[in-house]
Amino acid sequence: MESWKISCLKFFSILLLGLASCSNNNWYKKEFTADEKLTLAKSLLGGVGFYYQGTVPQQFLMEEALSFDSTNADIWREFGNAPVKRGLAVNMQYFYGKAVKFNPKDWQGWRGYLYLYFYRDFKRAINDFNAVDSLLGLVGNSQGQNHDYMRGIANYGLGNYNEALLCLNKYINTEIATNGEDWVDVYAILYRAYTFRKLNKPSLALEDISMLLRLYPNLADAHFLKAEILYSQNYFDDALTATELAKKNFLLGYYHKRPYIEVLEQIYLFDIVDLEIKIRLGEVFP
Amino acid sequence: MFWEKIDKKIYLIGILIFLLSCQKSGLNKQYDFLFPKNELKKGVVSKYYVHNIPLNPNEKTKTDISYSLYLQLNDSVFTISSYNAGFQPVQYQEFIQKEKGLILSNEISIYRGDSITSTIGKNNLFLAKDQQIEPLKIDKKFGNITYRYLRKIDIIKDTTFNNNEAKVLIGSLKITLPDLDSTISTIPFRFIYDKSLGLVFSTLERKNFGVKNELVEQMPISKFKQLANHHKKRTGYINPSKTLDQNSNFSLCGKELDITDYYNSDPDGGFFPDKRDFLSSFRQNVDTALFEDVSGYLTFRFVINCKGEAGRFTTEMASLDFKPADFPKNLVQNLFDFLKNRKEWATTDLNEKATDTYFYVTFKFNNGKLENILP
Repeated sequence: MESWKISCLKFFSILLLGLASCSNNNWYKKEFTADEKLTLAKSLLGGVGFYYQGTVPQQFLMEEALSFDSTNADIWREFGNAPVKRGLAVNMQYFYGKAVKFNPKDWQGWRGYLYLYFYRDFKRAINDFNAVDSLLGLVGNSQGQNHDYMRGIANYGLGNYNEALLCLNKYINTEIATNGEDWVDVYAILYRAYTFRKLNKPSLALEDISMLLRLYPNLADAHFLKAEILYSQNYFDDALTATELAKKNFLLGYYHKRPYIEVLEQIYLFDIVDLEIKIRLGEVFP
Repeated sequence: MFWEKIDKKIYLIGILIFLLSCQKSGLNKQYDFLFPKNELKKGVVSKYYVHNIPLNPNEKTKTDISYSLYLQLNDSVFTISSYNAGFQPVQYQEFIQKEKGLILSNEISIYRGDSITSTIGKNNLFLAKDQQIEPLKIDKKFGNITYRYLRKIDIIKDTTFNNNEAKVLIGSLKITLPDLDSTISTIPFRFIYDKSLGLVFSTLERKNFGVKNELVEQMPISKFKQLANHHKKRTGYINPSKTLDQNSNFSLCGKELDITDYYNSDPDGGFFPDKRDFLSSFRQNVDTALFEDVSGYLTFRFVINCKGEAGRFTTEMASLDFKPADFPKNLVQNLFDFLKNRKEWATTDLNEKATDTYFYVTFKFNNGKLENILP
């Protein structure tokens, strides 16, 4: 029996040797230095552009990038992009939270931008703009928009019109002083005009509308707001002319809009049509 | 005596197993470097980083991931299946070893879920046993356009790579539009094959950038299958079997893969005729008592098909501080009914053609008031 056991042992030893001899279990895996890992994290993040946002290959590229540098805020932010656009608020908050944690200077203002436009959470937006400006020691920009300007819109959204005016004035006046009137974002002037109206200062609103129409003569929103103010002052003929211009330009696509979301004080064709009807009726029954 | 006889037999069987298991691929030495040596008959997978390096130093390198599964089907047939970073098939190539060399016998590319079979020219030698004279010719038809790929090899020589024996293969790939008789580009390439790992490095010189392909990992097919079995879906995917309206007659116009997002067109798909009308309808049809004391973001995500019909409704719920939350069932049901009963939605039009699209509507409540409807 002892020989039998030894023979079996020999048999299995040879079998194992045979199976293992041409099957190398030390599979190749490239090692990277610490610097190479950081570089790869960035270039793999760059690779997400090869795929449509949020697709499976893109998710794997981002995960691979994170495996090399889990503190790279840009990767976390990229993870947050598709959730923002697809109504996944909890995921957005998680991923942008990570991005802000690892690089608040770059991403806290962006998160503020999202709070402002995608979630209409004006308080959080202002908090983020304030926090990042405090870190930077200056008034920053996020997604190409000045923080004072966005603080102005957020305060407008909150109904803090005096504060909104202060912020919008600061942005508009600084921009004019530094770069000239042509460099002011026309929609900041539009929001200041709305703010003046809310503050019951129609003449100042009309002054801003004149400035707006000098910079962007076709802007339907400016014509519409002008029409509303003139109508409220019983200038029916002028209001009607402004309404017609608003409608014409709206139909040509010249109105305030942003990708993905509805802007604050978004105008629609039927807003203009309703106003036109009111004005015409006002003419008949003043 | 008996055990001694058995012993000899065992040795013989062992040696036989050893020899069988060590059986080579049977590929001619002139081109056996093309394939990894380890477990080729079971299937071996190489993972590559594909670096796109712009010539402009101010631009950043972009890296993609690809996988190649190398497999020997029998004594003369070998395959390479390529996958993208998400383990989705991209290309399948089949090679047959013949007298004159290794023939590319079949090539199938996957493009937007469709299989495109290449037309391989008479010059189908992938690698000749002797000297490669004629370029390999492959025609691929994407939509109405036929692309012709002419691959020419100028040099095959021994080299070393990371101190290992290797082969370098230098040549060019010319891409033409045969129907228009025009050349798109000619791309010089350099492929380096490690003696045991197969393809370890390659470069392609494009007009404004270089493509550097490097082997980063090799794995058995079992590990690859495990990785590929990930169950991931696109962000925002809606599982049709887990919706609020699974028994409805809603159907897609196109393929699942072709569902777009509402923001892919200008104007956006979604509210019809516009959000103003939607809000007005909400005020007329939804009882405010349903959301008394309610706060948070209640989101309905769904698909609008090419006819402007909505289906596959699902919910996402968040508190005002963006934490997972619950909403009263009655409210959810009423809002779902309200959305479901909307007769028409704006389609997302691509190239003037209405497509199926994902859309969402978020009701933002704050202390019992509807504060906003998003997006």
